[in-house]
Amino acid sequence: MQEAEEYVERKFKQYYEKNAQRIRPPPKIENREFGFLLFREGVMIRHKAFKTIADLHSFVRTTTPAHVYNSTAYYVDPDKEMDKKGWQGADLAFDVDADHIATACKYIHDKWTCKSCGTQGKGPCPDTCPKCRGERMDEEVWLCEICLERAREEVIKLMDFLTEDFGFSRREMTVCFSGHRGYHVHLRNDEAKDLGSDERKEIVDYIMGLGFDSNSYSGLLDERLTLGEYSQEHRGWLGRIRRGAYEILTETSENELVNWGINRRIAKAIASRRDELASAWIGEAKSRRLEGVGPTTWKTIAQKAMERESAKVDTVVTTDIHRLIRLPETLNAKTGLKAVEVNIESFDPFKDAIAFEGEETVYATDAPQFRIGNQTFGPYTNQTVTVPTAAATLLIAKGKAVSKRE
Amino acid sequence: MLSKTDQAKYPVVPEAVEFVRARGLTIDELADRSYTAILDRAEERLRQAIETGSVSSEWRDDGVEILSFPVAVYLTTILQDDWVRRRFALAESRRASRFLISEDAERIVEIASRTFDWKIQPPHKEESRTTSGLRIGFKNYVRNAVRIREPKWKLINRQLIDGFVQVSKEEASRLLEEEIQSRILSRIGERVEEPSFLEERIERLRKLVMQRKGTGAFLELPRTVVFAAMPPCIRYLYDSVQSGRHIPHVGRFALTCFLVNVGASEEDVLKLFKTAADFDERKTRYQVEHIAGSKGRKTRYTPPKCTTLKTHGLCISPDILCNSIAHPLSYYRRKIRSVFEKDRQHARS
Repeated sequence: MQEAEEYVERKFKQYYEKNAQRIRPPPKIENREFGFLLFREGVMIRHKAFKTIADLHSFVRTTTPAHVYNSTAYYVDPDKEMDKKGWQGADLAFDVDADHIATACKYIHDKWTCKSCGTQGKGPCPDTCPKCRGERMDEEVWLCEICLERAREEVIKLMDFLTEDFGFSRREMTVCFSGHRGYHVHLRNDEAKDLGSDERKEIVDYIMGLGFDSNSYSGLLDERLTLGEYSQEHRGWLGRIRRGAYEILTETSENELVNWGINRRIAKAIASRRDELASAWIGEAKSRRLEGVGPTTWKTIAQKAMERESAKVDTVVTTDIHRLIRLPETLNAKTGLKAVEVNIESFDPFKDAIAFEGEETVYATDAPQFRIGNQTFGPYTNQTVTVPTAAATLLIAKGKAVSKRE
Repeated sequence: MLSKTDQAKYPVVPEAVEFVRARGLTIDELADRSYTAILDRAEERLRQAIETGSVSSEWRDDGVEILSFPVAVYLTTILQDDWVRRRFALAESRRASRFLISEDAERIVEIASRTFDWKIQPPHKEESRTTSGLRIGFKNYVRNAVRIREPKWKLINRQLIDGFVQVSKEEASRLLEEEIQSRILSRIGERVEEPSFLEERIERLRKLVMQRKGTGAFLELPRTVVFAAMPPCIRYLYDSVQSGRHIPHVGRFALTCFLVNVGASEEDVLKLFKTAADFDERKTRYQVEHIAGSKGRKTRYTPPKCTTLKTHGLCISPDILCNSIAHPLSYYRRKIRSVFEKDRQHARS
């Protein structure tokens, strides 16, 4: 492990010597707090401040940090201790991470090991070992295309909420890849800047669909006590609920409807008239009245539609108004990839976040298949391979390979 | 433009503030007998606030009514009591709300935008038939709605489009009431000297406050933790830590805050966390000391409120009592009261 860390640190040092000056200053750099996690012993340096971007560049060059963060907040004195900094506001920040999204492929590429009894398993790491109830778990997560693609979809949903519902402009937002399993969305806007933690919490709840109360939601059901049809004009959550309900009605099996607590007889009625219902939803058929389908069932479907249409974001990151967040154009020691500002529509993490050039020979112990640029590598088991430096660094950082030093 | 009577209804509007400023009233002048009516009404405003939680909405002279408001704010400042501050702001905002409810949409828009700089739009002409709704910028909406507990006020249960929340006229005035309340709170100063000519009035008000507080609304908590009174969320966190289950950082924070607020010592809390697998004594001690307020900012943190715990997925198996409280500490206080009640009955039987 020590060796792996030294390898990654060496690569970072070479990279920053040449490329530190590519780091661009966050707006109002002089009012931001910076934090750095160092390679050795995981020391965290906080409460750093820089007057100019050149100062930051030379700091990064001389210390070679494993991770670089800056505050979403603006402070009068960012280098003082927390209570004396003088909070002036903060960007509205969101973190979308594959860790918070359930994907089936986690059962293929994510692993955990109980540190007490050695039990191993695949998929998301449980809180306690199922065998010995031990709590110290080693978690190995992989960054995979499917997980990242799901995260990207969540970002797109999130941005739709921010523009369509909250009325922010795309120009006020930047999206950054974190260099590992997720994305950060920064919203810089005078109106958002002085929102308090409670107010940010309401925004998060809105985007995640938390606290939805079908009885309080005005206009959810129409005068016939059904969800009503879906049209392009429906915007905000009402539009999303109807869109989601339409998808649910065309996709969900009778058994699943029953699992949601819908009466078997009603579930059967819905499932048997699926096509008819679905076309009624988009206004193509006349009758959308279903015998026995009453407001309670519609509300259950609305609730499910909401879960489907919500965007999964990290609740803590957005509500914490003193948060440190990764700085773009810096390297992530978990992967050797670069955190970068991206165009979410066209971004390819395995191409656009590559930091290193050249090739290396490594001994790969156990690695799933992955892609760098247009080339696919692996899976590898106990073999010596020559791969691009970016791939080698990724494998070594993830503990899936050791370097072969000549 | 708001009339004198309107200014008397809403003493926080810029016209009323300007009216007071133009009079150039000084504290010393108030001692003059010609100002007795103003002082009387100011004292009455505060008395009604303390006694009933609401200020009456009848008056004879607009000028006296307008001028008595800043004087009542001044008296509140002198009293130096947090409860009185909140009570006065609440009572005055309720008074304003009684007038707001009967105003038309245009007037509400006027007050909201000119006094509080709200983004607010009147209903469109062609829409007014169906919705009669107003549109309020989401920030103005959220800032005030977060203080109202019913689910219908949660942003998620609202139609939010292009940054505007649709509300009815009645809802807009309810939100304005909250805004007025915070405005009044912010106008009450930190500390002022007590002029001798006000001594008698202040004394009367102080007595009144004592009486109100003596009625048991301020029950003291027992000095040790009563486990039976813990809300389910905290109980869950507590049991988790004890059985070595992992709990997220927010959970640890909530648990620690709760415990130090109900009488646990820093050592008690440290001992509890010692069972955790990833226990780091130095780090935990540092955090506990900061939360308890013996280090750092020197103020004791309170646990997050129910809605925050919900957001972070920490509201675990709420029970019936949870429906009527908004904060884990209120749960604890209520439960303690009922536990003691039972004990007392037990002792009697």
